[in-house]
Amino acid sequence: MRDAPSPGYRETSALSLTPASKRELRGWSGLAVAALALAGVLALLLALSRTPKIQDFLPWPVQEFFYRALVTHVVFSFVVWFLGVLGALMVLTTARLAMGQTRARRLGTVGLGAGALGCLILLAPALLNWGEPSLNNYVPVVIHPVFYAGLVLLALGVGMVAVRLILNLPGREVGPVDWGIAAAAAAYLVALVCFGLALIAIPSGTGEALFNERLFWGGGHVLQFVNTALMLVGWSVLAEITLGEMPLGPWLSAAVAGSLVLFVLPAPVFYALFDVLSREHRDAFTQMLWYGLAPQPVVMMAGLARLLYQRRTALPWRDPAFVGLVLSVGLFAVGGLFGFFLGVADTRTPSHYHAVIGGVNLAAMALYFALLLPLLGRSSRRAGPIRWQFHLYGFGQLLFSVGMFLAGEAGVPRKTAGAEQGLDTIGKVVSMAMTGTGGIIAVMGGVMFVWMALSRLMARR
Amino acid sequence: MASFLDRLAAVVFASAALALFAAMPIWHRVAESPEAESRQTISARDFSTLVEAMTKAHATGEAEGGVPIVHPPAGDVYVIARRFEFTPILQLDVGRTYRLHIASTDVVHGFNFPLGKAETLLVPGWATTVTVTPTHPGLYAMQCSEYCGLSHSRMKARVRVMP
Repeated sequence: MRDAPSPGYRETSALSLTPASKRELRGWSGLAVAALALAGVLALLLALSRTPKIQDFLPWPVQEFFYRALVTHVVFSFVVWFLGVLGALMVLTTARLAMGQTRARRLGTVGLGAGALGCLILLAPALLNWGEPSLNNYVPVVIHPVFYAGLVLLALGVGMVAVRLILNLPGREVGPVDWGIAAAAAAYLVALVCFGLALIAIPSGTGEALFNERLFWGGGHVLQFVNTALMLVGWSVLAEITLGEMPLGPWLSAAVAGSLVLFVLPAPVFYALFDVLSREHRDAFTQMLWYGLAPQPVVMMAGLARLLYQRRTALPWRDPAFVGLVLSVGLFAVGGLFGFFLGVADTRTPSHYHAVIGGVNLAAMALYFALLLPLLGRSSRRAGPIRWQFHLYGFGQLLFSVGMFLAGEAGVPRKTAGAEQGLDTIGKVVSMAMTGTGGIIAVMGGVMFVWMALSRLMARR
Repeated sequence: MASFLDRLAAVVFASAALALFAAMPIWHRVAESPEAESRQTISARDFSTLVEAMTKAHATGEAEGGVPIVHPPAGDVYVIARRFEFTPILQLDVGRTYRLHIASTDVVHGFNFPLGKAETLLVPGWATTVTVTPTHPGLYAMQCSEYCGLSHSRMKARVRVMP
């Protein structure tokens, strides 16, 4: 007689959720997808503000609005979306560990409130024409006290949930996925420390552009470890839901999660070792990313490859979560491969990070449908549209990245448009056309995700 | 058996990660690009005077995007980095050796110039010197590699190397 299969991660998570933790889970899940929806609206306004005739009807000065809206769009689609998903997964992990006995329970409510308030405040400068925009790396900003206040509130809000998770670890039974989320929480707190140290270390009188670049440089690099931890957790959970088994055993999963924290631990020390405005400081973080962020996805991909080979005769291709998993792994792998062939100033660099971030995005989107919405009692029986959404986003992003890579190989410089691109050969024109087509397809997939996720989240039960 | 293999894999992975981590100081040395350049202090005003003199003596009469093109002889050549341009644009000859002096006259810029194997920061008040001996004709990019403002990504120039 066979034993009944033991309950999986999603089932045990559902059992651990109290009404309070479910409210918090709904709050962070809502914040994450609302951030993407707002980013979409801002993208539309950006497009309208560049459209002749239509731009004349907009009720604000187009030129000033454009860059502020661009900054806000990037912050909502890149920073708030990932932090919202992180917030939701940290709430879930805390509930799983605590089983109703949560330590520092109030930190969760206060954190969610601070995060939501921070997001509202972040919108104000773009809508009210306040401050000068700065397109620095990782966290672009509008240089205005209100915008910085919004960022601080959001950062502290997520930080409180991270601290609560860490406080709930000792003496609790911690599973492999829980270790992954705890690693993301710890890395996030290291990123916050880096932002604080940068603020202290940057000399007064530093120009605004350099100030913002170096303020977010170190912590921004550490946040990529957080994103990677989220993606690896996503792959594990999706594999278990769709294939019945996690790609790695519990010990190896814990070692992979621990290594993500290990490599970011020296980050705060860099502020003591190198002048924050020096090239050495800049390069130390770049190298931390290059060397410290490669082993974990490679090991996880090897585990997934083993699992896929074992299940090769019965792969669930009609299950949207499985499609999301495979596309996420594929896109991330392509981006990782591109990373070995980067040029100096051509479009191969954005081809690499668009594919890698696309892989993280797909894992987060698939987790949203396969884990977060079902835990909130909002799962969908219609798999077709979700599967389509993953195909559109995944293949669109793949086309976009491959086009950019080929264009870079042919010599097209990055961050240029129009005549500056120097599209003087058929190869360059075709590869940039691939990029444009892929971008449009990926945007369609993104819009579908926001629409389906929001409508399910807000639907009356 | 599965549990044993899992533990073994965890030990191997953790050991490899720890070894990679312990080698961090080595990565830093290995990745550091050779410092081909040297630096001297100079005021923005003095440096601008040198650039103006070179431009006046060796301008070709052509310009690209409003920036004059100069064709100086082998030896010392001067370029200003400022938001958001490198000026003047250099036209160099294959086989000749140039000492390229470059300085920022406003804010901190990055200087990425693969032809001169240069990747450095340009801090106002300092001039950086790199030696360049072009071997093939063509257009060679130099660009700002440190965020310096909204049009940072447009801060680039193409050095012309003639046969």
